[in-house]
Amino acid sequence: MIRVRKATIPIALLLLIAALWLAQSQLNAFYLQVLGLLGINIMLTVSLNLAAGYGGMFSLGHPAFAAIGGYTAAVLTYPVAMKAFRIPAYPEWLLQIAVPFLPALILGGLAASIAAVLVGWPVLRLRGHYLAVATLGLTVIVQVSIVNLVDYTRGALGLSGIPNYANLWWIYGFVVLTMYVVYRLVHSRFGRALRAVRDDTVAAQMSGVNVARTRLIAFTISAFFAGIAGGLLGHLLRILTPGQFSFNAVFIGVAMMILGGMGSITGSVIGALIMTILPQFIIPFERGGSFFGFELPALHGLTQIVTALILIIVMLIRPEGIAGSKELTMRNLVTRTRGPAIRTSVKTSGSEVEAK
Amino acid sequence: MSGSAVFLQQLANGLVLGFLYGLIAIGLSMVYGLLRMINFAHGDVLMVGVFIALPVSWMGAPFPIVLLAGIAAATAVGGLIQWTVYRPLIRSRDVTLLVASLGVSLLLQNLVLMLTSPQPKRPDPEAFLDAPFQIGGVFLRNVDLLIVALALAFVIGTHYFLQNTRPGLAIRALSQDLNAARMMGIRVQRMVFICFLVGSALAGVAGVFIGYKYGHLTPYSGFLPGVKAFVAAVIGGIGSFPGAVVGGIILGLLEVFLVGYLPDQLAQFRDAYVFLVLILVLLIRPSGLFGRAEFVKA
Repeated sequence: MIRVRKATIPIALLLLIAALWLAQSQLNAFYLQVLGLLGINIMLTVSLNLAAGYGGMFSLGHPAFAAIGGYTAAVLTYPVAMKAFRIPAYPEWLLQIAVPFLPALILGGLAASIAAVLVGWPVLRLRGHYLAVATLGLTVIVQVSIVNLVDYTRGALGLSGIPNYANLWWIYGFVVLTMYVVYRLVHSRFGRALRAVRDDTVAAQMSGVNVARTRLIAFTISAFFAGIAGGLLGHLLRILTPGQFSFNAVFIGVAMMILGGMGSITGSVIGALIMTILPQFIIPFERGGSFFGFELPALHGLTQIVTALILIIVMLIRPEGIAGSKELTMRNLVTRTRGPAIRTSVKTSGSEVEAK
Repeated sequence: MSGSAVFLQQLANGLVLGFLYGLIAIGLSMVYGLLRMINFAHGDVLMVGVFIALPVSWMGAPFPIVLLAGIAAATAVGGLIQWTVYRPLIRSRDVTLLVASLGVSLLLQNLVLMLTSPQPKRPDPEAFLDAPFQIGGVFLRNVDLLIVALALAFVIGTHYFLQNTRPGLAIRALSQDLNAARMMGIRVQRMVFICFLVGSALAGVAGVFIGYKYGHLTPYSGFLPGVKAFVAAVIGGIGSFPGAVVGGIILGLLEVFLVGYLPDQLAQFRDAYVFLVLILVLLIRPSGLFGRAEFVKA
């Protein structure tokens, strides 16, 4: 069995590389873009899951982190010839340079991390879900700033003409990296401390875990990957607009995470897959017209209604999501027939109405 | 206008806005006090209330009828949501309730969008409400005066309800200790339902007034005021009834004064300031003015 496990990861990686090579050479631009978006959504969901699923820090600010990372990276790689008249407000030295893609992405991720520290430090010490409102506030702050700082971001027009650096290799390279880092992190000493904090703050504290610091570190790392995902998004679509990081993005991010399962990387992939592919089928109905012989009016907001129903129905029927907190691993597949694999913290609908 | 006249004008505007926030914040604060739940759909309940009251106004109904229609609609929607979505979830983890409320919020916004149109709407103007008047250099409209008067009346009414009736007593007991109150035989589900009805009714009042004062209603008009009202509740101390009202007034004044006195380029960041205030309050005094502290020690 050990041998099977050791071989799994290289085989999976080889399969992924073959699939990417095939996709890159065979598919047209539209499908490549959908695949790229899928990868970015997986990154966003895994990073949100690190904060919310494993850490119990329910963040509604991940679109803001993605926006910060995305705009930072885009401004850094933006062609020097266009900088001076499109985004003239930056200092002279910044207007003169175009940074390569990788350092720009990482700087974007770091910028998002700094924002996470600024919001997280005052809020993560508190009980309850203040973080949800504070991070939703961050989304509003970033949104308002992008719209109003026209000389830095081109405002509501959107920052267009970003170089098209992010192909599938870049995106899925970072997807694999994100999944690897998050997996190793939550299965380390640090990850056990993080989950202990989530499940019982007081008990974790008694065992010597520094609650606020553990939370803040996980939150910052989570924001870092969201920032990188934002950078990839800008260099995939070649345009960033404030609308990409609105409340709608908040709802979709949460839907991807809870649909797959909070506290599961496999679940994040499933959730991102469903929420990326599904809208492609719904969008035609939003425009209205004739379907299967029926005449339908334009149904504005249908995608959002489906997203909303997913959120509500999952919460009512299966609040732990499709995968729960389980992972799809070779070991789980092999041991399925011989009884349950090592049980991770299965936390379902226990009664936890706080009595304060 | 002289400096002091500008100041008084801003003060009046801030108070009016603050009473609107206060009306919305009461429902949020009561629900949080009971369930530790942030009801993101509260602002959207307000919005649905106004959108049902709008056709009543277009049919030529006078203001009191429109107000009643808005209150009735918001109360019905709030009650319906509690009954169908939140009620079955009462024993689940608080994050489940939070996600469910996000879902309800998104659903309400887009159902209204689908059933109406994206164009902004406003109730038919009422000559009486729009009539201007002036006290000592401060220009207001009758609607502003009515907002303050009715908001005060509703706040006092709710206060009376909480202090002097049996359901009010039960709700206060629940927010002190839910499990103990349950063991004393209080019907938790029924009291939570009543809480939602009261909160939604107050949100309906605020909604109709927002319609008359600002016009320009879209399916998204409710969400942000709802979240801002939560900030108001945090400022006042979440779970505290006077805290919600006072927090609302403080937030309204802060917002109006910041926008009024900052230079134009900075004044555009209006919505951002509200949340900066939230982060500052959480940093300095997380329990708010009247609340109890809920800390994880660093």
